[in-house]
Amino acid sequence: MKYRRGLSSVIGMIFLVVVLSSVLGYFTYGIHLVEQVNDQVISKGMENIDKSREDFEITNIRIDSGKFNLTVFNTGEIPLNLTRFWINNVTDSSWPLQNFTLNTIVTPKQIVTNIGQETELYALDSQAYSMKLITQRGNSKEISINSPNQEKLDLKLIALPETVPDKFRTTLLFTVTNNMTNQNTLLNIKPIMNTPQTTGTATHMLITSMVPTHVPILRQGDAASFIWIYEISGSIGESVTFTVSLENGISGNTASATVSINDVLLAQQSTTALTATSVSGNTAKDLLFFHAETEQTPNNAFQMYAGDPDIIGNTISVETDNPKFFTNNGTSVNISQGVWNASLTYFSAPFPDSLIDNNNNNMIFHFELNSAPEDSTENTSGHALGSSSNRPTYQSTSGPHGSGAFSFDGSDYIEINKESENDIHRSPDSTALWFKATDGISGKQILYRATENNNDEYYEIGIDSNDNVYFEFLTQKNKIPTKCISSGFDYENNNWQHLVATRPTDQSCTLYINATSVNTSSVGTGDGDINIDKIFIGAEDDNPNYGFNGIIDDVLHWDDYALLSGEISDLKNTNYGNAAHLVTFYINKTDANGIVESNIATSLNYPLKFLDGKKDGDFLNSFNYSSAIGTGVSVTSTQRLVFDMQFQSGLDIDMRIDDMAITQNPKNSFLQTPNLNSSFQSYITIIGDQSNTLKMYSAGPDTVWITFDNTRLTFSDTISSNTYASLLLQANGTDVTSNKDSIAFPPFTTLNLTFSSAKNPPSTSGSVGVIPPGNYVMKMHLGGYDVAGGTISKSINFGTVLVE
Amino acid sequence: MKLKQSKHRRGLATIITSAIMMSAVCMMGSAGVVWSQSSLATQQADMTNTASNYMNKLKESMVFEYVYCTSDPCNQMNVVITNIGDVGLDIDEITVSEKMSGFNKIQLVNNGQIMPNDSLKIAIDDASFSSYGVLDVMAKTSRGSIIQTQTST
Repeated sequence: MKYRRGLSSVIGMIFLVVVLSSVLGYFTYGIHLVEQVNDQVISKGMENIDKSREDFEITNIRIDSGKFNLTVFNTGEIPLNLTRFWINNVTDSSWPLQNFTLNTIVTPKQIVTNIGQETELYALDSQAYSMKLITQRGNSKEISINSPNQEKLDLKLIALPETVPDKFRTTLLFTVTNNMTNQNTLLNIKPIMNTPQTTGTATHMLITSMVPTHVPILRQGDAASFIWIYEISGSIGESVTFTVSLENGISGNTASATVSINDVLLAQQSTTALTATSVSGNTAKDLLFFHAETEQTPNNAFQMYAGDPDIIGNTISVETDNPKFFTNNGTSVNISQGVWNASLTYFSAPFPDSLIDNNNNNMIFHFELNSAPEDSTENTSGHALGSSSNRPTYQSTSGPHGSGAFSFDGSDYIEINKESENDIHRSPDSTALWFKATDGISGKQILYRATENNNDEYYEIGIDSNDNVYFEFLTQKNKIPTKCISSGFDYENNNWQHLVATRPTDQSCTLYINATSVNTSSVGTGDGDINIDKIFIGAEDDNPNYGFNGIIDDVLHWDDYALLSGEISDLKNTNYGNAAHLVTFYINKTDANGIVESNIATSLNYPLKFLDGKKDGDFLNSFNYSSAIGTGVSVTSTQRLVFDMQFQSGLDIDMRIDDMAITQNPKNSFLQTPNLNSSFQSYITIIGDQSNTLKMYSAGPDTVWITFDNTRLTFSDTISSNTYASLLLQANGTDVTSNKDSIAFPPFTTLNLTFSSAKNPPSTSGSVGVIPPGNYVMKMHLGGYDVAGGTISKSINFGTVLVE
Repeated sequence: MKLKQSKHRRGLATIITSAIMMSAVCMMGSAGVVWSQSSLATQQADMTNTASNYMNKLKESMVFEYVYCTSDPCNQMNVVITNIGDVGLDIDEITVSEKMSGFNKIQLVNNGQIMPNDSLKIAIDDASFSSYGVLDVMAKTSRGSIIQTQTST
């Protein structure tokens, strides 16, 4: 019995062994499969790593013998194989997109040339192409050439000098900057000088043709220069306008420069600039400049006439002064229907009144240019717009108030240079910004982050994965961060939100959205001192992680100040865009005493754009007020025009008038009328039978002497053709004769020039032929020389003056 | 005598019983072995299939080599896909979409097979392409691999 039980056991064991061995085989097979999968995963990972280590640049591109010739530099760490070459003719749409198979291996740090020379494709210098090279691992690089018709290029045309005497020469300097956004290389740049436009009898003669005749290649960011020399002829006041475009360029992408004919050639002949005070230059009669003088105006308002600015300037606080500018009465003027413009040169206050004094230890970014951000306070500098592949996109009108802003795509960032004015450390601190977050983005998004290199300590503002806004900072490693966070509202909603994060004390914070405190806060621990090494807007760092998707504008940071609730409300209501100020404008006709007789134009609450004055309140830009008047305006000799500005609301505004140092763009503030039949009388009065003294100002840089021989005042009757002249008698009370020049006239000083009474024939004494009373166009002709060896020759038109 | 007779009968019964028991053990054992072999073979086949699919999917690799409009305004788009992997792949679907507007065009692809290092050009027609500035383009293979890119019209 025992034996038989043993036999059953043996049989059972045999089956068991069979089953167990099968199971064992199954597991062994399974493990083997897992190993295979694992090997494949590793292999795939290695492929991806290799792909990311592969990199190359197209360093040069030419058209040689009618074929493309590309130079490729392997900047990666592993060899690569260029397998395909795509070419698209951008100019000729009938040309099909083509591709060619390559098999070009480029080892690390190797430069390979002549790519494209083997292809059966012929290229034309005059056409634009975009190309793409593909590697075997799937990486690619795109490049475009010779396609200035794809987008506008930065073109500048400068005339040197802009003003020349009759039959003098001017050099035209034309620069082309390749500022295309798509890494476009331009080939064969050929400017085209369009037919110059002349006024009056002005003519031009080409002396030297364009040099160089062309530039063969212009890489992204590079600039090329070309020059022409022309001789200009004509009468004073006439001009020649030159316009240059590019062969194969985009329509309307041109640059122009106007060369005017005058007796003046200060920059060329003497390098010393003289300005006559209390006189007008060659100003057009429709440009009524605002003057700081208040003599002979109703209620001590400001003068307005067609005469150049004549003092060192005056700054008007529009919000308190509500300035009025009056023309003089005395002449009848008919003004055609049309558009009245006022060019206003001003700067806007950086903050609303409640914050006006808090402009130290801070920084302000309004993002008004498509370039590295500039701190309006000029406290910090050296900021950068991400890297080439992580550069935020500039949008010129997308800000919360219609001004420029930067758009971030989740990997873009702005890197702020760390300086003492943004270097967090101890409290207090404030950071304010506008953001418009794209809806539907998952995960955390950084708006502003300052951090140590090792990320131990940080100061961070962002949107968390639940679409709540947070402000969090950590003052010491391994301690607890302080955090403020909103709740219950989705701020990732495609709408503009104004955010202010404040840190009143070392371990406290407050978070305001749209000027309302929204936070739930938790107090952290640590030494209270936040050390940082770098600052980023739109991403965690230059890696970048947790990138923001949306638009950011008006980033302001105070390093030693925590904004208060009222200030935050004012800041939120501040318009840093197209309606920073609301001003009501009136253009009226008045009687001689300034009493309004009729209204020409009224513009209530006219929006004026924010103009940044930077740190020192500089007048860097102007903004135009315009009003179209459907009927002509007649002003009698007993009437005046008044331009009346009444501040309504917005940021404070400082407007510059009558500053003779402002000669270029922007000009001084002025009102421009439509065409008028005669000039308004200026505020200058000449006594006909006595000597008259006029002031001159020297803008330097050299000391000059005025000579008797070539210095005169001339008068031309505005009705008849009678003419008169005055001779120079004295300079600053010292006689000037044909044997004795004026005393030295140092730069940046004023010289009083005394002239004889105007006569015909002119003489220094006597009363024969004295000018009778009336309205005359008066001009001053100045002759002299400077210490640098230059000749002074200047003619200045005073406009219409009253001779009594 | 009685005792001898009795021993003989008991021995026969025991042998028969033992034979029955051994037969039963053999049958049950054989059935168990057959069942276990069958079950393991099925699971092994499933596992092999799953792993094979996964490894093929891992080996599958492709890129958008060029995506461009063939006309201006854009109403036809050509998508060029290159197989940079080690195995052949089969593109079975191209999707062109625009998130903000909800525009979504799905084009099924016949004959979307691409051998390693080869490329395939797929044309997609839609008159409304020009209505959108930027479009998302997504390609899906029969094994489920997906690649995505964006193109401007």
